[in-house]
Order: sequence, then C-alpha cells, then structure tokens
Amino acid sequence: MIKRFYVYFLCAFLVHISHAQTGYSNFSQQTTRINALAKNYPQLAKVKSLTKTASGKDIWQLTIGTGNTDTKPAVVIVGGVEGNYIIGAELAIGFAESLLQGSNTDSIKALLNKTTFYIFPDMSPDAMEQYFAPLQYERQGNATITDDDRDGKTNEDGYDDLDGNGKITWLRVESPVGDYKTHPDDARVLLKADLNKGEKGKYIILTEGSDNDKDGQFNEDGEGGIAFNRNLTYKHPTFSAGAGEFAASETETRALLDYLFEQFNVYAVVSFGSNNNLSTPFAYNATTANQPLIGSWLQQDVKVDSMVSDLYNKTVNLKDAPKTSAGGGDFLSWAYYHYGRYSFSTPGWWVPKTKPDTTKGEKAFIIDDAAANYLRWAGQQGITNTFTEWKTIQHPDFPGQKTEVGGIDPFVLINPPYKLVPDLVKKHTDFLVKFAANQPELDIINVKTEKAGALTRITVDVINKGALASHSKLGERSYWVKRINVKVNTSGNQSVISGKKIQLLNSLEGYSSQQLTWLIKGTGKLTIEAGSPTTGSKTIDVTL
Amino acid sequence: MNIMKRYIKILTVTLSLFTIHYSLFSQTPDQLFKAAGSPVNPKVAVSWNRYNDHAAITEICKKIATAYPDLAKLESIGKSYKGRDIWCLVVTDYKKGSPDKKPGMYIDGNIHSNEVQGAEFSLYTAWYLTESFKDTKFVQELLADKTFYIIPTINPDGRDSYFHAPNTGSSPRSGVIPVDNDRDGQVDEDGYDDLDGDNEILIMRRKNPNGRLRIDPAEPRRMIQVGPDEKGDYEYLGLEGKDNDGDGFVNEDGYTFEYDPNRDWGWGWQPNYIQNGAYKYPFSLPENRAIEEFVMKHPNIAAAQSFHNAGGMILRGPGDPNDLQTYNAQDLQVYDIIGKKGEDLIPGYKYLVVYKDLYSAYGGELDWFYGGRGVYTFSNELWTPYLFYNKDATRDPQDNTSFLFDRYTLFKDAFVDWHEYDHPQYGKIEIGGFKKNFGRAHPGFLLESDAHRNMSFTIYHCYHTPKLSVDTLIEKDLGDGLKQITAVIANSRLMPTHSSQDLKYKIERPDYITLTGAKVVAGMIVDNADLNITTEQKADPSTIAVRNIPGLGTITVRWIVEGSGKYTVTVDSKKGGTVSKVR
Repeated sequence: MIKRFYVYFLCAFLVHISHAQTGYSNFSQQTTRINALAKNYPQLAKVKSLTKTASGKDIWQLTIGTGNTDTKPAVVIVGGVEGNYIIGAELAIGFAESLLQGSNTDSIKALLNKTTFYIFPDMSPDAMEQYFAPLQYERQGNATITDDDRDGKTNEDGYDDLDGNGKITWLRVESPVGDYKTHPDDARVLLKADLNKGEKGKYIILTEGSDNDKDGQFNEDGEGGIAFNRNLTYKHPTFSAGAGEFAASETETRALLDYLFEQFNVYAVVSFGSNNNLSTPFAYNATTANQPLIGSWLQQDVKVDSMVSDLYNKTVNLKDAPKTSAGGGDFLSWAYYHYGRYSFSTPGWWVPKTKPDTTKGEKAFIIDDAAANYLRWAGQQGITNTFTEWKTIQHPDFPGQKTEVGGIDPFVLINPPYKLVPDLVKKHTDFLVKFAANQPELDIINVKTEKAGALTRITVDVINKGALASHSKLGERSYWVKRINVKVNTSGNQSVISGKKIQLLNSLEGYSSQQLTWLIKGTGKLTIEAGSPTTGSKTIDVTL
Repeated sequence: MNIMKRYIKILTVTLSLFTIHYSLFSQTPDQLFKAAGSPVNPKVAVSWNRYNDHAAITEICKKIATAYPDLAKLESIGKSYKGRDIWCLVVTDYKKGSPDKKPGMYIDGNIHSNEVQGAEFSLYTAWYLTESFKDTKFVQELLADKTFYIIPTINPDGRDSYFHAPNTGSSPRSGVIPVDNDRDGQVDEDGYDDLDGDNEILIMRRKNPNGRLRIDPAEPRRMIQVGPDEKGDYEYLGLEGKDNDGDGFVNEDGYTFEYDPNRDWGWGWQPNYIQNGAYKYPFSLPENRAIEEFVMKHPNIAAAQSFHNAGGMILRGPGDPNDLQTYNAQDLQVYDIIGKKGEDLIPGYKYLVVYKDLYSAYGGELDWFYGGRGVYTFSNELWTPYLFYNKDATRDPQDNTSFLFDRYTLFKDAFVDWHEYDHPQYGKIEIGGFKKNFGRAHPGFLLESDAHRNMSFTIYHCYHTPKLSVDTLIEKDLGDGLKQITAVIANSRLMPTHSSQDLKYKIERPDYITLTGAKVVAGMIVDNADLNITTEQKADPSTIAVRNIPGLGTITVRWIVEGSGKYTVTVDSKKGGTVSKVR
C-alpha cells in the first residue's frame, strides 16, 4: 500500500515537472510554482492565501519587494481575471518568476529597492480548472451554485458533450429559418447572414448541448457560478448571468477589495484579461467623463494611458489587437473608477492578422472573421487538433433535421499555443519593469533660507520626479487615496509665524513642482517632511 | 463552604427575590383596569418613556423570548465591528406553521447611530405582539399567518457610542470603523472635544463687538441674527472642539463622521466621491453584511420597514432617480394605499418619495430591499415637531417652539445653559445649547404613543403581504378516462407574490402550483377561463410555475389527469406562503 502510494506520488511528481514546462499550469501546479518562489527567494518574495473560493481553492498573493514592502509605492498585478484566459495567470506567475530570476542584476535590485509588486496570479481558479477537466469548455464562473436563468432551479441545463470528444464546441442545425451561412473563403466557418443584403442563412447555431430542461433554451444554466470580472462594483450588471445578486457578492472579490483598499501605497494596477487599454489607449470623451456617474477616463488620465500604451506597444510589439469594451462589473474599470488608481489591462496575446500564403493559393479574405483568420494562422503555424470537423449526429431536440457538431475548439482563439508563452512572459516582464521606472517619486529641492529680522523665511520646491502623477486625477476625489502631507517639525524655541505646520497637497503631476514657503521664528535645526504612500517620502534638515 | 457563608448567600438571594417581587408587583392584577389597546399586566415590564443602550436591548429581547417561547425566538444574526450581537426577534405563532414559510415582515431601526428611537419602536412592536396575543383575536390571526423579523438595532456600536460618548443630537450618524476623512494618513486625529465634560457636544459662542448675533431679549437662551442696520455682540464658533492636530482646521477628522451605513447597500451603489458616505463596496460594513445574509436566507420576507429620524415622514423609494421607471403602476398602487393609510394612522407624518421629497441617494437600504429583493419597503423618519403641540412647527433649532416646549413642557430639562469656558485657541468663550436627546429623539412622554402608532402602520403593511388560498376546484369529465381539474388560486391581500421589480429581474422564483395524487397528463395556465384560452407547460406538468399571483386577484391553472381518486393541490410561493387543498 505504502509502496503503491509512493509510486503514485512519484508519477504525479514527474508528470508535474514535465507538464510545468510544456503546458499551462493547473491550480495545483500554479500553487507549487508560487510557493516555490517564496521558498527560493525568502528575502524578496512572500506568499499568502488571501482567501479560499467556494470549492476550497486558495487565492494566492505573492508580494515581491524588499524591506517594509507596504511603505513603498506599489504595482498590483492580477491574472485569472477571466477563467478562460489561461494565459493571464501564466503571465502573472511568469512575471514573478522572471523578475526573481533576474533579482541579482543591478537594475532589478534597484527596482525592488523602491517598488513593491503585489501579484494575484489567479482570481478565477475554480473556472480555470475547466481547461484541465475531462470536459473542456470556456468557463468564467466560480464554484458558487447559481440559477443563471433565474427559473428557480440550479445547474439544470449545462453543456453536453454530444460527440464525446471532451470539448464543448458548436451545434449547427440545418433550417430554412437559420441565420448563419458558411464563410465564402472557408466552409468550416459559419457567418451571420446579412438579411439587409438579401443573404439567406442555412443554419441555426447553438453551443454543444441539449435542452435538458425543455424550456426552449440551450445550455442556459450549467455549472459555473459567478465570474470575477462581472462581480465588481463599477456598472455592475446585477442579476445578469454570472454577475451575482449584487456587486462584490463573492468571497474572492471581497477579499481582494478589502486587501487593496487598505494598501494606500498602490499607484497602478495591471491586469491580464479580455479588456485592453494597453495596445489601444482610451480616448477622451468630455461628455461621458463629466457625467455625475462618470462614464469614461478623465483627460489627464487618458494622457497617462496613452503614454503607457506607447511603452507597451514598443516593448511587447503585438499588432492588430481586437477591439474590446468593458462589460460592466469588470476589474479594469473598478481599479480606475472605484479604486482611483491607474488601471491597465491586456489580453497578453491575440491571434495575429494573417497574410494569405499565395504558394498555397490562399487569397485575402472577402470577409474578415476571427475564426477564419485563426484557422489560416493555425495552418501556417502547423497547429493541429484545434478544430473539430463537423460531424452529423442524431439530436433528440431536432428530430428529422440535419444536426452537426463541430467548429473551433474552446480556448484556442484567446490562449496562445504554450510554446509562445515564454517569449510573451519575457516581453511583458520587460514592459512591467519599464513601466515601474515611471513611478511617482517625491523630492524636496531648491531649499532657500532668508533672514527677515529675527525670522527665517524658508522656501522649497516639492517636486515629483517621476513621469506618472502622484495620484490619478480620479483618485484625487476618493478618500481611499491619501494626499501628500507636508509637515514642518519644529522643536525648542521654534514656532511657525506664517505658512502651515501641516498641509495637504491633492497631487503632483508627473515632472512637476510646487513651491511652499514658511516664516519661522527661533533658532537651530528643523525638518520638513513631504510624502504620501504612492510617492514615498522625503525629509530635509533646515538650519535657521 | 462554611454554614455562615451559605446562610448569607441564601439570605441575599431571598432578599433580592423579595425586592424584585416588591418592585414588579407593586399593583396586583386585580387592582388594574385595562386601557383599550394596551397589555394590562405584561409579563415583561418595560418603560416606554426612555432609551436603552445595547445591553438593555439585549436584556429586553431575552426577557421577551423567555416569557413567550411559543411566540418569540431570539437569534444573533451576526456581530458588529466591535463584536456586539445583532439581535433578531422572530415573532410568530410557532404552533401554526413553519415561521420561514409564512410571509415575513422585516423591521429594523437605528441604522444611523443617533437615530435611536427606531430600536424602541421595533422593540415595542415585538413586546406588543407577544403581550397582546392572549387578548387580541386580530393578533392571533396575524401571527398565525405572518412572521415578524424584528432587529431593534442594526448598528449597536454606533448606538452605544451615541449614548455613552459626547455627541450632538446629530452625531454620530456613522458606525465606528475608523476612516481617514481628510486623507492625511492619520485616523480620527481631530474630532469633537467635550470641553466642559458633560457628555454633550454643544455650541461654542464668543462675545465679539463685530459679531452678527445677539441674545434674544424674549428668550435669553436663544441667539438671533441681527438686522442689516443693527450691531451684534456675539459670534458662533461651531460645535464644541479644538484644533487637536494643529493643521488649522477644527473637528475635521473625528469618529463621528466616518461613513454612512445607509449608503452601503447592493442596489445602485456608488463610491464615496459620487455618493458621500459610501464605504468600500455594497455590504462592506459587517452589520449590513449580516442583514444581507439574513435577508437572502429568508426569501419569505415580503415587506420591510426601517426606522430613522427625524421629520415625520413615511418614505418609499426610489432614492436614485434612475430607478424611477421600475416603480410601475401596479407597485405604486400598493405603496400609495399603504403609505396614505400611514398618514391617517400617524398624525403629523407625510407619505413621501426619497429622491424628490428628501434627496437623491445611491446605495440606500430601502433601495436594496425593493430594487435588489423586490420587497415593498418603507422608511419612516420618526419624530416631528408637530408632536410638540399637535400643530405645525419646524425642526430648526431657531424655531421658538423648541424653546417654548422645553420651558413649559419639559421644564428646561433639554437645554444646557450658556456657561463660560477658557478655550486654548479661541480664548474666553461660552458653551451651551440643546442636549443631544432633544430635537431628533422623542421626549419621553411622547415615545410610547408614537411607537404604537408607527407599529400600527407596520402591522397594516404586514397584513397586506399576500394571503393565498386554493379558492375553488372545478372538475370536468373529458371522457376516455380523462378528467380536467381547474384550480382557482386567490390572493386576498394587496401585495402580489412578486412586485414589478421582482418580475422585471426574475428576482424570486415563480410560484409553484402542484397537483399530487393523480396521474397528470398535461398542465396549463388558464389565461381566460370563459373563452378557454390556455398556455400549456410541456415539462413537468404536475407542477405549474406561475410568474405571479396578483394582489386582490386570482390565477387559474388546469390539469388533465387520468383516473380518479383523492388528490391535493398545493400552492408554494416564497413570499406568499404555502397552502393546500385536498379533494
């Protein structure tokens, strides 16, 4: 028995080692990798479990930095924003690994001396496991049991693997009232028929499954509860499937928010998920930005997004990103609108726009379509086994109708083949390191003292020598963002005659300064201290 | 233990029993004559002319639950930030039906720390229902049908801080979790200071030859503005306090204004820079989280009431004007009938709408109860100066009625006379003003009568939660061994089983009408019985799911069954309860 257990353990271990290098990591492999970092770099990395999900999986937090990490300006990095973006968790863990592997270089040492990284590699571990499960489908919901179609029953109509291939693909049913037709350049792909142009459809398209509860809808309430990226507070789509009965209803959502709200040193949040304001920055819209319920980024913050996006594109060099728009309840929006921090998100990878291979007789597509583009790209890359050929089946819900299962496999449109991951990790690590070099940093310069009778007039410039402002423009409005506190510490016979002993500055733009002046009575030395959690602080001595 | 000690102990116990006996039964039952509508000889003696801190509320709740085990059970539904229990008295006739299957009436008070009398009003309701049960047929019927979930204070930390720490009548509104209001990195470093040590935060005034105030010659305790051509001799310096942290501001970051617990609920929530008072996210405060979890576990709650102060208002939502369209005609009718009845039952109170008559607010409690749960909810602003002399008056401290009432009716118990104080920053000043127990809280002798009137309103509200019955069963032989059974399900009260908000978002599951005991071949909803228009339910025909059973209305369903014999029709509605009929 013991022997058998040992053999089993050894096998599991070996499988594990090989798997970690050749494919995406499942939850237990993620756990091993994350904890290995804390073990291998005890001076630089700390790991803790923020909370557990409904299925008992830990939400891991890695803190990377030196000294008292909570007192240094910090960047938050979040993966697993959506459970079907496996690449997101991989980039977050990969960033931590490569940062620490490089931690004996001078540049990384200097970076970790002044910056803290709070990394939450996977906010959707319940959903992400579906990628590794015997039945693969793209899932975003956690293990909370939900009634997605709000009919009083839970999980009564999920997907069904009709062709038994372990993947949920598509169902197409021939129908005189079908609204889909085949793609003119690739018959494997279906397109919506444009009725306005006199086109006629041939197929009804459904996800693979049956109407298990006979309510006329297919696969509308399967396993998979609340999606992290629909559960946050900005424009929460209350009551819609996967969003929850109210915002922040989920343990993991609340645990992250509770933690972050108390981390006043965070100046930026970078997340990996479907939303993208890194390859294409937000545009300024005066109308929506100035609504009482603010609907788009403020002008100053749009400029910062543009600058950071420029850095991203130059560093990561991925082109032709698909257009995205945040769907409400999402993390990118929360981190900006409700947390008041600079917030950035990228999918980390997308299918490149292919060029026709004329040697194979390929022509430019008549109609642009993601699936057709993917299949052409996959073909050129020699990627196989990501398309399920259409196959006729007998479907009890469609007696007498030709019904086929097939189509693009789950996950492949949004997650790169694993062989591309190391390079993506390297590029995103480069980006994050360069990004952090722009962090706000306070200094006090041009210290001038003048005598005015028995008084001393002190004049200083408090400056921000970083490219990023001390706080986002929106953050200036929130009481979860601290102001810059400037204090004159007097002692002995010293007293402040004019100017404030304590004063608060709302913010300092990137590369900007503010002049402050005081009249002091008395003699000896005093100190002036300026600081805020997002900028660090600086203290100077002044002799009267 | 020696004999002497034991003897002393016995003596002490005997003496204390004697004392209790003496004080409780100073009148014997046969000496008392019942006043109409009040329990004449209650098992739990409570004085309804004073306020109770959380320990006292705990005590009263426990006594009620102990005295009436078949009518009231006490549970702690969670803990406050400081670890105090949030008590819920569940009042119903436990001998009739399952409490959590009857239509529920939720009542709470004191969400704002200083708005204290809601706890007494809630508690009075529990006390009255249990003590009156024996004598009052209406109460017996009510508790057979309904369950009351009564949470006297949903903010026990704030309540105790209002009583036991120096405050004004308006502070603290907030609970006690520290917040850095001025964002300087320090928390609660400069709040009010009880300079004269009387547990009150009063007004500071200073003699100033250039001031714009003077003493009212007719009422020397009152300050009045001087006219444009007159010279004053006083100025106001704000509420009692000093600049504790030397930043040039007085009272800018104290414990009394951390956040607003009534901006922390999960419908239309907005952050603090849009909705002042919001905390981190909906239900980020532990007290509200406990309520949320309790309400989610009790889908039978069909009506809700929260007690605030002040102003004499019976408020309904929406608080957020964006929700205006969700209040459709059907729901407005329910609200209007109950709200207008409230104006009759509670003199001086007006039935109003939050967003237009008060202010617009996001993330309020009543918005969540209606918007997030589909529950018909009112919020009463208790106390109105109308009650001083049963005629119109205002809450403005400058309104002379307050001074008159204090002078002639309270004999100057509600005012701290102006007295001198040597202030570290302002120099020689005077401190004085109305005490914190005046202006928003009821004076003692008016507390019980207004509690009773507000309770009568919540009972009317509760009475009109759905009351379902299997009204008629009509059988028809279809031949070939088939029988058609048509059931008319009636709701004899105002509220439907699903409000329009509930229907819009499918908040609660449909009502299930089930036929058991016969083989069901088909089932359908009858849209029009006379014209035989029906909608068949193909799956699971023995249990017909209906979206709603309207208030003061009926719904008709039909089954085709095979064979004959006894059968049962059961209606199972989350908010309407469960009823069945055997045929």
